[in-house]
Amino acid sequence: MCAHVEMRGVSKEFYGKVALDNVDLSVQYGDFFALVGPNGAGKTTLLRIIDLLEKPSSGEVWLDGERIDYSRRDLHVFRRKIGFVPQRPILFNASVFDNIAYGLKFRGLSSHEIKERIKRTLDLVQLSGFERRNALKLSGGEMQRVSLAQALVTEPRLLLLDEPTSNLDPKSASIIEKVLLDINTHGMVTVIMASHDLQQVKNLAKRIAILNRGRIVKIGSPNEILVSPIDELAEYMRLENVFSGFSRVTEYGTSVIEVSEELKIEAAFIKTGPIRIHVPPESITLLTEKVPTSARNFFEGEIFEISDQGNIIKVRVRVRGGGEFTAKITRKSLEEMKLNIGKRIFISFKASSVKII
Amino acid sequence: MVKAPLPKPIRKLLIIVTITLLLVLLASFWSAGAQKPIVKMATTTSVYDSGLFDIIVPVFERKYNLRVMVIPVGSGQALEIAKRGEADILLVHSRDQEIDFIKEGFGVHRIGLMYNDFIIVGPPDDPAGIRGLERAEEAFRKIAESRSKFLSRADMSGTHFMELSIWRSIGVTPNPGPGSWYIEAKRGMGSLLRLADWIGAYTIVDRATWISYKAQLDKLTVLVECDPPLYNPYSLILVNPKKIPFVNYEGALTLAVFLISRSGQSLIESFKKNDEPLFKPLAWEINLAREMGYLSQAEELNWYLSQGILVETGQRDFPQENFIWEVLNITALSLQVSLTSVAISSAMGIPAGALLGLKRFSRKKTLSRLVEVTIKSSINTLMGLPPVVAGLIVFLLFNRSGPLGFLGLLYTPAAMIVTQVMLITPIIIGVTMYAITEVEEAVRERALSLGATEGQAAWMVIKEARGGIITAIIAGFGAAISEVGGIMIAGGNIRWYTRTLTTAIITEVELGNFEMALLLGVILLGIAFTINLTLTIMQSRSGKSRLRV
Repeated sequence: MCAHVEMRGVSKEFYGKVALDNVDLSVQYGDFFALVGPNGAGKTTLLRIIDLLEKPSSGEVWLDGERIDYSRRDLHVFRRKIGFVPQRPILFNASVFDNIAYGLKFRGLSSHEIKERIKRTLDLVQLSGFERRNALKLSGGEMQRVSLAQALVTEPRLLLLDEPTSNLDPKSASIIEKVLLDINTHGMVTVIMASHDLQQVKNLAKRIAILNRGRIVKIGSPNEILVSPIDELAEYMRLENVFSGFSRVTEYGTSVIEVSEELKIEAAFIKTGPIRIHVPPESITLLTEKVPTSARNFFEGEIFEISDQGNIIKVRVRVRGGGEFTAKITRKSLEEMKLNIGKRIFISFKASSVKII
Repeated sequence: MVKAPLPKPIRKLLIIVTITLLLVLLASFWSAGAQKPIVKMATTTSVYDSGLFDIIVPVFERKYNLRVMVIPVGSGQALEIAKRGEADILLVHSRDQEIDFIKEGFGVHRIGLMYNDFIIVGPPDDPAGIRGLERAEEAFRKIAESRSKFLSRADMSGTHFMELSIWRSIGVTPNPGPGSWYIEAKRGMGSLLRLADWIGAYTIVDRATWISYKAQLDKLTVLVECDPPLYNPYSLILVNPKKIPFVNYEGALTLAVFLISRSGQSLIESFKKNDEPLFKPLAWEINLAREMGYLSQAEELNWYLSQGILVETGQRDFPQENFIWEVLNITALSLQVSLTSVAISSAMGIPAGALLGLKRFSRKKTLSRLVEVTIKSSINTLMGLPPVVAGLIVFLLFNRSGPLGFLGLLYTPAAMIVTQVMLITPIIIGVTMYAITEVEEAVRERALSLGATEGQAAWMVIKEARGGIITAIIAGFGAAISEVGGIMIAGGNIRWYTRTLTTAIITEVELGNFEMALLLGVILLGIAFTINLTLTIMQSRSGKSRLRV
């Protein structure tokens, strides 16, 4: 039995910049395959090559056991078997119904069949009743669900998703996750999804590949991948502010993770036992004095590193108890707050910005 | 089956209604053009602006089955367009040029029809001291010696030639350099008089124009008049059918005989403004005509009168000479010309712009990068084509001796449409191209990803760019309705036939009827507003640029 998707030595360069570097990949029928990695690792390029939107600079792509020769006929025939949900929805300036119908109209389906399928698909993504709304006037989460419906309505055997839930409201995100799980388990649809939400990947994926600088650096089941040493994973994901510790549920319905005796981080989820967490550097606020705040996490520390990354400045703070945090602030804040190395500072972040990995 | 915000059946109906309307408009031209036979008379602006033919033409047309089209141009230009076959009969006042015209075989049966005289006007304080002089030559010499300001038409008009002949006879060659007392105004008589009034300059003017304008002038007064060399005779010349075979010789002859006849001459005599006659009849004044250089006036008069009794065909329909009716006529023509031009330009420009904007065409190997860049730059350049240049190209192509002269389209609404199509097609191509390019990449890829063929994807791109395409149409319409330089040359600004709002505004300004000009301007703005409002509503329905990601 051959693989659904197979890549052999695929490389892709854009104007001399390497986006993918000699990638070998094989995805079996019915698999739920996740691509994780930092921004710029090549996840999107990989998905676009599988959707035949990009032609590799070198290497071979095989779909359904056939080598793609990039003839116009090949592109057309194979694209029709694939559904693609881009990171940001690209919807047409038309009603939700029309947006979803286009894929079927391209295939010449009868209007009766189109109506039936759209009704079912809208039920699935929980947008029934949205038929007549203009797609461009929906919220981000609704637009992303229309984008998913556009792909699903064509009943693809292979579904590609590029960070489908990033920056979405929790309701839309959970609807999308539910649909993906459903079509993969019951519909036997092969899913390949790029993500950097490790929690989501853990819940959904059967196999995970870590992509870094255009190369697949690790590939395996969630258990194999996510138990690898914390520093190694953080390095691959270029994650900062990764801590491990023991989590306990509090009486307020939050959890407190004890990283060390003096460093306890409060998080909005409910979880007991050993755990690894991540605090995105963008969510950390720096304060020069102690002020009342609604943020559940508040620590005192000392700046030990300031590095310039253009408009964004990376400030590293060592807090009592030995924890090191990285915060990202703007140049303007740096100047206004007169920050320098050795300065005493307070950091704060909300319990809800703490992520499990 | 599809429930879009604006129901599709209604949209389709709107499109059908619009196309039908445009076809009806277009058809109405050809039928209007078919109302022949037409006699085309080229005459000087001074006669035209006096309004003489607004009186004579209706009387003539009521009697004979002919339509008269009066083309107002300078004498020099009148002779030039006659050589190209664009006029059947001439009424001009530029003796030397007329003689040349006849020597070259273009004209026959030159006869003095009427006359008035030139007068020298100037500021009332009269710095050159010419008031009351009998001889124009003396007055000119004093002006030159005192270096008093003098305004020259400098436009090869009959008046200009008269002025030059006086300078020549006193041996003065005025030098129009910077700071000189001799100023080349290069404009029509009406605005030149206003300018002379304003800056306190001397100038020479025909009496008809002077009488028409003097009420609008503050200070300018008559200083020298009634000098025989200043007589200003107007000649009637038939265009020679042997030289230019397609002229309406019969019609021209009919008109000429009517003008020379007792009734024609008495119409000229009775034409007055402010109770002053503007022209005096000359056809039957054999001796006076001879003095003015019409040496064979008697023979020509006899020849004309021997051409048989004219067939009077009685009353026929003609647009009422009514102010409101005329404004409506002008407005309708403006709309017809602009809308037809926009429709034709859109039909050509939108597909062309789409083709150029869509990558799958422009990136074809047959169309190299260099060719693509060249085409796009050419379009951007043509978007700035000066209207006057477009009008000139149409004139050179469509005049009787031009390559497309056989179509007989010059000085018709069709020629105006051709001019405007030349002007706005590049605009529509350019804006469409830009609109397509803006959405092309994302939409095409998304459509392909959803299983579209390249053709279906291209169609989706065009659909998504529709807001920008409507912008292209708005830009094209705006350019068309306000355009004046091109249609002036190609259409000739002929009353009841090729006069639009913009050219009428120019005429009214030249005549000093500022209120009328302003009224026409307001109508123009109103029309532009209404049509843009409709298009803008359509545009907002089709949404803004979708690429806000």
